[in-house]
Amino acid sequence: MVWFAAGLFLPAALVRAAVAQNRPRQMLEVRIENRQVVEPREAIRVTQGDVIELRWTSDEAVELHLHGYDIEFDVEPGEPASMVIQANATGRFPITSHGWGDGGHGHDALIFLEVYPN
Amino acid sequence: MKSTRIKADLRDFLQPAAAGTAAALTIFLGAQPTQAHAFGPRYDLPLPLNLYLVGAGAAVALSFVIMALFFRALPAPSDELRIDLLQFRAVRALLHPLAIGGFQAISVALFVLVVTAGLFGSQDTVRNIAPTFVWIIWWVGLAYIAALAGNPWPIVNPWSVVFAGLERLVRLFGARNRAGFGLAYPSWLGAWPAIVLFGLFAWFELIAETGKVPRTLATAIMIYSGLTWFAMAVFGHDVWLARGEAFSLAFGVFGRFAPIGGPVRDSADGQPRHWYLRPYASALVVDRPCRLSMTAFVLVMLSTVTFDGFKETPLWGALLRSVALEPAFAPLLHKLHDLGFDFQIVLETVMLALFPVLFFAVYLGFCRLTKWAAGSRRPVAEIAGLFVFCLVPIAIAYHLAHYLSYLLIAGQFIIPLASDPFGIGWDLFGTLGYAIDIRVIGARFVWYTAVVAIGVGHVFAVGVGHFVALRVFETTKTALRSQYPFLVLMVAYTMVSLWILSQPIVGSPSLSSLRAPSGTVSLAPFEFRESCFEMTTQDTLRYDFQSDQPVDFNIHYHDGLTVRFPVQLNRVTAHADEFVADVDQLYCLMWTNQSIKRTSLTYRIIGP
Repeated sequence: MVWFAAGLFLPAALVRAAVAQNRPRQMLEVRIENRQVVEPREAIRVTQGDVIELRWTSDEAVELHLHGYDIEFDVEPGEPASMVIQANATGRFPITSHGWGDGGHGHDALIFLEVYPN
Repeated sequence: MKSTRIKADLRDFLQPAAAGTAAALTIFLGAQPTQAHAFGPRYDLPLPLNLYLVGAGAAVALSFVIMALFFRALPAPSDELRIDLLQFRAVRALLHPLAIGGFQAISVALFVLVVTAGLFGSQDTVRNIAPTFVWIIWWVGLAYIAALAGNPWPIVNPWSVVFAGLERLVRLFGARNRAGFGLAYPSWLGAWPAIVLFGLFAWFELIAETGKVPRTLATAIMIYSGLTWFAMAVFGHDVWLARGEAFSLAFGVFGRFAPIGGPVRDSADGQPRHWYLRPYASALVVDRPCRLSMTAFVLVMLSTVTFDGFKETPLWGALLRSVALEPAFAPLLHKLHDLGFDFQIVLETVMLALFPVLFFAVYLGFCRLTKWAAGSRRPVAEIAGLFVFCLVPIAIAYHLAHYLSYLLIAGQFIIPLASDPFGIGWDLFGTLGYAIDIRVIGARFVWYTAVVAIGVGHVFAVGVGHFVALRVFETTKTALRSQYPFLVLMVAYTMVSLWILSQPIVGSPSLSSLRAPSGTVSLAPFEFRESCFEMTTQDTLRYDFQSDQPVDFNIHYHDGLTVRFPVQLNRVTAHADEFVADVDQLYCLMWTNQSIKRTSLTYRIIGP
């Protein structure tokens, strides 16, 4: 069973590994409006080893928190701000707000960062 | 420094939102969205589609390979395949009364530590050892050990150890009666007490938000302990362990898969005589049907494991949403809200109760098919009691896959907690500063383990079913024919397990909370929204709103089990006012669309 499975998985893994070499730093705009991420619509997907820069804009002051990687980060309205992530650990990590301008406190994930293995 | 930051991080996962000021907390639906089961973060990536398909395909293909290869008159594994471990001196030393006494003392000490820490230690979930030890190390960790190595619970079960110790003490003082009141256990009661207790435990683990609060957890443990000891005194120690102590039964079911069986003790002096190493899953092959209540217990266990995964899928969120927004349920929903019930908890509780019923119905249906396929005269209940253990390997495999990264990542909390179990600043072993490493296990490893485990579990399931059939049906031919329906059931169960793993873990949806202090939303008929604020006495809040269709508006707060409504307006389309809090409370402004048409609602809240 194990060999059967390995035989199926290994070729796919090798092809993926060959493709995923020397990726440049990626940049992605993330826009918050009305306390919700309106862009991008889905989870942010990157590959392990990527360096990704998230450029945040918000219509309200917000303190963001990327769980797992444990990065805390402030965004002021009208001032785009960059969060740079060295995506070393794989997984699906929520980004939540730890406080809005007026002290409102959200616990829903605003958006997820998904780091896939390379 | 790093560790305190990590802890701050986790605290946000674990603590109720009420800690914040002006918490946008919803009371109806969705209090803790990123919450997995009992507590702790889970960062699992969903199983990719190609692996899901490979796993599902392999389950089908392997089933046929096994049928082709083994579905002949193969003898069931016999007792000759076991090795008695007691022939080795080192193993005998492990079962020496002194050694066993040592394990039991450690177990009871840990039990006392957990309860004491829960009651008197820090009430911060991640700074108190109780939640991490109980939910991750004991419940998840011990299940792994019981299933993959051998079930240590009969030896270390602290309730059993303490009661047996007390019994010995009582006998020392001359009482002759071994089993307290010595009441005969009514045989119709079967394992039903364990089912009820296990159901309550599952509810506490998967649905109640309070399982992560150390004091609540310790209180629950004390209540369960009192009940267990009382029942042991009434019905006898051994009887209750076999019928009512939910964890003995649960770990026992997992332990049937394990290669090490519990020590076989001499009935006269209680000394271990044999301790067998046996092929995996061989104890799942039974030749006598288990009782209906035991069959039900196994199915309840399996269904709660599946429910745990299912309740984090987007499908469950969508289901919850559609039920919550279904106009037919609106009056019930409001009634529940007025009675102070959290609607989401009610819905999840109903689902948790329905899952075993569903499992039982489907399983009995397949047992009926099996009876028909084999042309057997055995009653369906008997067939159900014979084959129920076949499903256990699939459940174990799913359990393994579902909890692997959780155990390895969230389980690391035990390292700093060991140094400071009460959360009062001790550093006994110098590990207080340990920071959780989220890279100990990669997604790829988790995926492959999951698919391989589920594939292997499936093979074991098919194998166990096959051997049981050979033992209990009259001819080989009928035995083989009996297995086709079960094969379908097992493939389906394996696919459902894989499907859950292929779903992204999402928290429960916050259906009704308004995040923004102002905005325009669209409300379906009977849909409601609310926005909540922590206010202290004399805090003032200004608000205004308008809608196309009449809405009910109120400002309410929960006072224990009753809901109080300082402001209540029925069927209005516009309103503007000021609200002054008269007590310190979490106040919620709530709008409900009372018309049968969708309405837009434009609202603005200023302050507090």
